[in-house]
Amino acid sequence: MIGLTRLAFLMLYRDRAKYLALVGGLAFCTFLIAQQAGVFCGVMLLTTSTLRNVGATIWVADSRTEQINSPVPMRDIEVNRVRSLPGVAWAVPVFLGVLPAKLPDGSVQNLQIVGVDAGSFVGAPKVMVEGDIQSLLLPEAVIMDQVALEKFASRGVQLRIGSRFEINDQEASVVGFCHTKRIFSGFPHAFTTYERALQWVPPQRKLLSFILVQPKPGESEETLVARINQLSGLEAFTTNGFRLETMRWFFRNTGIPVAFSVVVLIGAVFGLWVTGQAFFLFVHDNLRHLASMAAMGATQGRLAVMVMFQAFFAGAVGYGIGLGLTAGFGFLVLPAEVPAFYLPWQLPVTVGLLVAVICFFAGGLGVWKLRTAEPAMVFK
Amino acid sequence: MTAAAAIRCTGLSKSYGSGETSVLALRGVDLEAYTGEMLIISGPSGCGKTTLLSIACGTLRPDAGRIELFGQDLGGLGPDELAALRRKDVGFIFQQFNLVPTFRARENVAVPLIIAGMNYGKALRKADEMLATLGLADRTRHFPAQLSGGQQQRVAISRALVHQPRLIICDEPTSSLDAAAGHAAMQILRDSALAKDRCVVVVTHDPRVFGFADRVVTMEDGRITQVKSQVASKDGPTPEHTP
Repeated sequence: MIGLTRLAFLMLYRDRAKYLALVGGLAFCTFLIAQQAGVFCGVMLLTTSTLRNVGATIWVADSRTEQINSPVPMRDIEVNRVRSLPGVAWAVPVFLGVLPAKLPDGSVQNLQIVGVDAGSFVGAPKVMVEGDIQSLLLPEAVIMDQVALEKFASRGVQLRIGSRFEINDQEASVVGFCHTKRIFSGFPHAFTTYERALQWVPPQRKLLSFILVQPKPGESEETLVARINQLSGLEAFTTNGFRLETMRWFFRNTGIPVAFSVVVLIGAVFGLWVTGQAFFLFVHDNLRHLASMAAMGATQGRLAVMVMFQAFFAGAVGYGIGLGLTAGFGFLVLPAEVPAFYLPWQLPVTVGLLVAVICFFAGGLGVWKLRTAEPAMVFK
Repeated sequence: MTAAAAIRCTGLSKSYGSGETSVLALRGVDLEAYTGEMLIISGPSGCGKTTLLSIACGTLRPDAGRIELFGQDLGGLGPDELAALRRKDVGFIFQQFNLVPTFRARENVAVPLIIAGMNYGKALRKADEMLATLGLADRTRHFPAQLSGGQQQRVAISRALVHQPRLIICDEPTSSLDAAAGHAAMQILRDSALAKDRCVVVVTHDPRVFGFADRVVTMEDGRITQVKSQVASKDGPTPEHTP
């Protein structure tokens, strides 16, 4: 069978026009599906970036909060209520909100303000590029991220330690720079203390966004989440639970999944159509030669294996090229993180399975056509 | 005729289509072909000669009658058994040569050996040897499109002979060739039949090649109307056979 497989390979590979049409179609289909799905995964990752930027074991929110990016404010007193619950090692407040920053040239740039507990710095940046977190205790101090550097620079403002600007008409002074994961809104991060953040925000009765909680040693996260939900009337989430809840919200309330699904569907249909048609034509054009082989003693089963091999070989090459192009796209955009792109291992596996289905369909069409390759047809 | 029967057909009938459009291609044909013999089947288009050829080599089943190949009744064999029989005992030369255009000459010739399960490299070496014996040693790596009609025919003959079959089936082997190339091709087939004790069955319209045959069978309207035995010339047709 190895010899026949080799003949099948030569038959396909040396028919350059059809080979390139097949491989090109499958590569394009793979690229379209994997790249769009990768961008979708990247966008979904953006929606939950705050969970990674702030970092906590358990998040407690107002019971009406549906996702991380739109907290419903609570009263400060809720922090103490949560602290008093059994199984809680510590609980600290965090403020998340968007405030306008006024640049020296008069333009405005919205900032994602993160106000963290000044005593523990829980929720403070994980990766400092310049300066240190303790500097947040200085008057008017903020730590800006790499996105702020880019955004400000695009308006001619070179941020450096000591730079000053206004946040909601109040002075802010840069004391450090950090690296964060980009967020869905694209706004730069400005980290400060919880108390200072509240001074920048217009006065309201409720300003607390979330309470970050650490369970006592030996206390499971799920158990504590259930207890907080039961005893406080608030809504507690594990980080993973909050991530899923946020993603579900985007699925339910935005057109993003549908938009990407349509493109992925087009890719799959295109692949199925082009590959199926090209392969059917390839088998059709070679039918007389396949029938000759049948006359010479090749069984229908062995010819079918040859045809399926050709379909899957073209599929493997097309998939490889398509995935290579997707990876190339990823390497191109990842440094700037625009557009968002994330390629978890499940994605190439799923796309590979989809391409295998397409190849099975195309090969099946070929085998179906092969049924007409009666040995006697070579004498007609 | 003292040689063993390679093909024995008894009462073969075959029709195509059904109802009013039904066409009777063979009407109770009896025929024997022997080893060491070159048999030519001739007749006008639609007389049933290609149908007879297809049935004789086990690529088509008759509606009625019995067909034996080297003493084996083909009626009792399934598709895979028939394929195995053709793999071992039958070599084919098709009207349009049917060389795979994307295969080199040596790869085309190696096809029957590879189908029979021979190692790929060994099959190519055997193919090279076969092509060399037919004077194509310097054309083994050429694609069919790079060969002349006569050379393509010699590649097709090499492919038919390479696995040493006992029966060679030829469908209009000279129809695409000029007189000289057709003569050369028939000479090779004739020599092959005589030297290896094979049976060579040729379907042709071409009267120029009748002189190569030991017997010429003429068909008309699905029946054999004439069987003419003759002493075939070792070097091809005698002048009276050449129009």
